[in-house]
Amino acid sequence: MAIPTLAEAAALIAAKKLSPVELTQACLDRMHRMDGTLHAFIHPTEARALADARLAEAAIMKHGPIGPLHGIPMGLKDIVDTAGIPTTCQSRLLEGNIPTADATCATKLAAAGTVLMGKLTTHEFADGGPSFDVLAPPARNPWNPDHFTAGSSSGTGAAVASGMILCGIGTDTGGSIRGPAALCGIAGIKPTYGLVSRAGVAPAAFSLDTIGPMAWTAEDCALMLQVLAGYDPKDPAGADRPVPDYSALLGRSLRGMRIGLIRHFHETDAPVSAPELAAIDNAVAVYRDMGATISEVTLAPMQDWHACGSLISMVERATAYEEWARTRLDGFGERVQRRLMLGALVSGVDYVQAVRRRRELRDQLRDAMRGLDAVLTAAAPGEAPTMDAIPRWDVFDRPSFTIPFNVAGYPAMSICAGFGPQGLPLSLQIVGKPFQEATVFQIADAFEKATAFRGQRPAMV
Amino acid sequence: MPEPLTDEALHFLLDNAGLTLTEAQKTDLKTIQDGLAAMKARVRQPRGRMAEPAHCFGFTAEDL
Repeated sequence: MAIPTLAEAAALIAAKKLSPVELTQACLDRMHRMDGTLHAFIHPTEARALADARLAEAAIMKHGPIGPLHGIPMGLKDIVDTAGIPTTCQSRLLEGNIPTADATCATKLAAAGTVLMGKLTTHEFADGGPSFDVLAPPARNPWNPDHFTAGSSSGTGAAVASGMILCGIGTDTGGSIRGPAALCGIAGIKPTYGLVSRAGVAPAAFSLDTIGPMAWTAEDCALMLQVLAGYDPKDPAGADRPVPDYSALLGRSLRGMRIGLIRHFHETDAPVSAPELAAIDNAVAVYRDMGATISEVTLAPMQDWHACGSLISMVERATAYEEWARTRLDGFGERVQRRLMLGALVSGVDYVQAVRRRRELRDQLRDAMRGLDAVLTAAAPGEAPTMDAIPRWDVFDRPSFTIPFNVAGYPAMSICAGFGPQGLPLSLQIVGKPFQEATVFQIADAFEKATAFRGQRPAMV
Repeated sequence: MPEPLTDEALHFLLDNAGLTLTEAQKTDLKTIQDGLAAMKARVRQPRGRMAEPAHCFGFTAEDL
């Protein structure tokens, strides 16, 4: 069976032309064939998947689907609590941990009739991979398993790209959805801070953490976000706002749309590879051809955003895991140990200065986006590096293209923007105004449908 | 460039944080001192004492 997008599968299921059981079995077959290499799943739930699929099929045959996610195989990052199913955050510290309740996002996806294929590999506690000294091996990139997936939603990126699932949950504190989406050649959106409940999901850095969809296309992400978005009193950062139709703008013309380009981020602050730059320039040309107006936007140097987000992250992470850091530091893998050690070197005053800088930077982005619908920049420096090329102290190696929008709390999406000379994906980041995810999807979807990049899957598939 | 972190200063900070590190970890941690100092410098802008952090909040209807 060819791998359908979520939207294609939903249409076929609704027309009773595709059986959820057969779709699930095809995903399981891919899992059996490829996951020994890719390590995208840490806790596969094959029996649960088949049971979910049979239930979905019976219900759909009787009453029709309850929504587009009914009968769709999906996975959850292993920092998302799942009742009765191990949730280990890929850490030896949580080996054998079986929650008694689902996270809110897991509950919502189950209520939408999805098929749970399993828990997906993550960097330990959503931080610091790839690590070979934690509970399970790191995920590998389906486009070339010698290469990195990025993280921390590494398993979700690998599983979606290889068609083992049609969509999955990622989390994003500094780029953990958009990084793997970029390097694995899929779509992933970090929603506006507070839009999707974090209840029942292990924290990384409280004021930066977001939960969001990862799938093959922007359209698929819109369908998934429709289920995930919405106020949850269990999340103290939850935004109590009405949920719009995230697919409403898909297919509408971009004529007259005003898009900014933060060129200095990817050309001078942290220059991307030549193929990545060409991919961004191509995307700009595609949008111009569609009738959008492109203008340049200047913000503070990306290093300022990176410093602000990183200092906040170091302290909030060290706070969340302080007890274990004090008593069981060697239970963490080396990379997370190093991150937690950093918390000791950042003072309370340093933290509050970072939070003051955060307000200034947010204000700057808000002002820059007045009169614009969205802004563009890189999501990653280029094609995926090899697994052994990730620096020990990667946070000091180069600034992140993704963390600025965690600092601001704005919605930001990575989509596939082409392929480089090594045959690995290139990417584009699209950033919208708060709660304007529908516009981000519109812009992303227009590019995907105007180009041929969604027609290409990894060779191993 | 900041003054190199002395063993005594590092010991104080780690003790304050309640962390027990190996000698190799302490040496490793010292290697990032310049990078961390550069980050700290970037969040310190010329700003008056009135500048508010991002997480200052207003009460909403739900609080009342």
